[in-house]
Amino acid sequence: MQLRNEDFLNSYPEIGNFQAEYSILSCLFKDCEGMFFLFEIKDLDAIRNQYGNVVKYIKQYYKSHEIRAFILSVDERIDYITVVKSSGLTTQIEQLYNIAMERSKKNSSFVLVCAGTSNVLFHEGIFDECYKNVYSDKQRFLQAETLKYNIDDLEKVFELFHVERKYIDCDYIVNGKVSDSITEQKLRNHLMDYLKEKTNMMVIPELCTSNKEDEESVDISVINKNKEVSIIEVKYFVKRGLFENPDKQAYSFARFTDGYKQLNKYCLHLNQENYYLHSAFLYMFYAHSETVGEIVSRARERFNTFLRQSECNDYFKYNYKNTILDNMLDQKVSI
Amino acid sequence: MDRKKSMLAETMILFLFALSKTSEEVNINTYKRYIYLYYLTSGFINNNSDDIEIIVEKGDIKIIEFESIISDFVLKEYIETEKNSIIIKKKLLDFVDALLRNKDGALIRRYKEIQPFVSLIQSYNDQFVFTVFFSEPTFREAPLRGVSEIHSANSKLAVLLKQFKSKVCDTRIDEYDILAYWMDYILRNYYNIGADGDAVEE
Repeated sequence: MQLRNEDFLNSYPEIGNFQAEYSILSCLFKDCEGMFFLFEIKDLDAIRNQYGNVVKYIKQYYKSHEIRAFILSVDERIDYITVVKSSGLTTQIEQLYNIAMERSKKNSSFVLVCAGTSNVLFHEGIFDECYKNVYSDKQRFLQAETLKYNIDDLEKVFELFHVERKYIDCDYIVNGKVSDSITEQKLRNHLMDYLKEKTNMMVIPELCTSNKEDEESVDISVINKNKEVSIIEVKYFVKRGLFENPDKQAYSFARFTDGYKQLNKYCLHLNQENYYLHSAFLYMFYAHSETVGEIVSRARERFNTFLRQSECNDYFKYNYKNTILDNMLDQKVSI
Repeated sequence: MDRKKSMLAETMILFLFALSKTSEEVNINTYKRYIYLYYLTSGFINNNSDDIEIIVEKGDIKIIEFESIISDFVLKEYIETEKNSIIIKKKLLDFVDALLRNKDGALIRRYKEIQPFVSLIQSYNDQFVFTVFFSEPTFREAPLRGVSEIHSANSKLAVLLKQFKSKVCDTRIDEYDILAYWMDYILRNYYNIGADGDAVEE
């Protein structure tokens, strides 16, 4: 989804009070995972200044065999009282909710219940729905994150891209033929959009691989949170007769060697620029009358020939991971 | 050490001190993104004009003097670095603790600005901070404008957040609430989750 500043500005009616404090409080549950306790705070703003100290204090004074209510007072001092003695994990959640409800009502305060999987906030005797929404959002982000692929899963993402395309129309396949208007840029953009959607990485087009050398940029690079980079060179070839226009053709098997030569250069330069190069791929879109097995043999032959050439450097040998073959005319079969 | 560098070093050490309360280890890339986001929002949150220079290149940022300050901290045995991690040492905690005992000093004022930011930003995990970082408008728009060097004082994010604040009528909603809302907005958008929690149809 395209992120637009205007959409953000227009979303202002959705913001609620205590957005920051709720976010910080939701982290207390994670930082004190597995602990059973109450946390009471009268002035919710104070959590911003005292969060670290609160976590430290709870970890220092927590007891597993009783339930304590940790209290951050208005003058930002931290203390505790024991609310349930000698019961610990056997305490009923409902009992803790009741205590939290009563305390928050009596003291006009906020009381957070952290107990096992329960993370509930009461404010002046009432269940705080807004906190629940902020916490639920965080849980949804975490859940959504588990569905994203990382740098080690790229080959799986390429496979999914190929399979999904069989079932979704794309503008470069027309009536079982390759569109005459196909370009390498169009193919690259399609793959790039898919990588943005499916991976948890920053996807960059045309990453310049060297500050010193005047050369082309690699088509796609993906960077993860630890600055590991994977580079993807995109190429294509189409045999005569497989375009819409029967006389048109584009490139040949020589594109494999072109791709390896370029990756060879990029791998060397990226290593010289102190990148953490994770892997390098040649992504070959094609349409041809030969079988997949025959195309694999041709690609392998060119790869092995290139490895024997003097220009082939060790960085390419270390970082090259695979050539991805994507038959553009591999479409859904209906019988 | 010039003034800019010493101010940045001060910010960086106070960040480590604040972070140490919940963990003695921090991912160095995440830490750099914290510093970046702190400076890029500082004009909005603290209304201060502290400026740092940032080189934007190849999908990453280079904060001028950041690496050199990290090396200084290692030499002084305030921290250890190990692969992607910074391990915060007791020597750093003792050093900052002593400085912060002067309740009227300038350092305590800066710490009071940094502490709430740290509390908020660390409620987002490393992956979320990474996503927020590469969605940040100053960084995102730099290549489109052909810009490779940015100054935090010219933050597009601060301008955006100020524009947002001018639309909000509820005076109880302050700068930190808006920053938290913006980060959540980025993540909802990134993960295709609507404000009501449902997946958004594209």
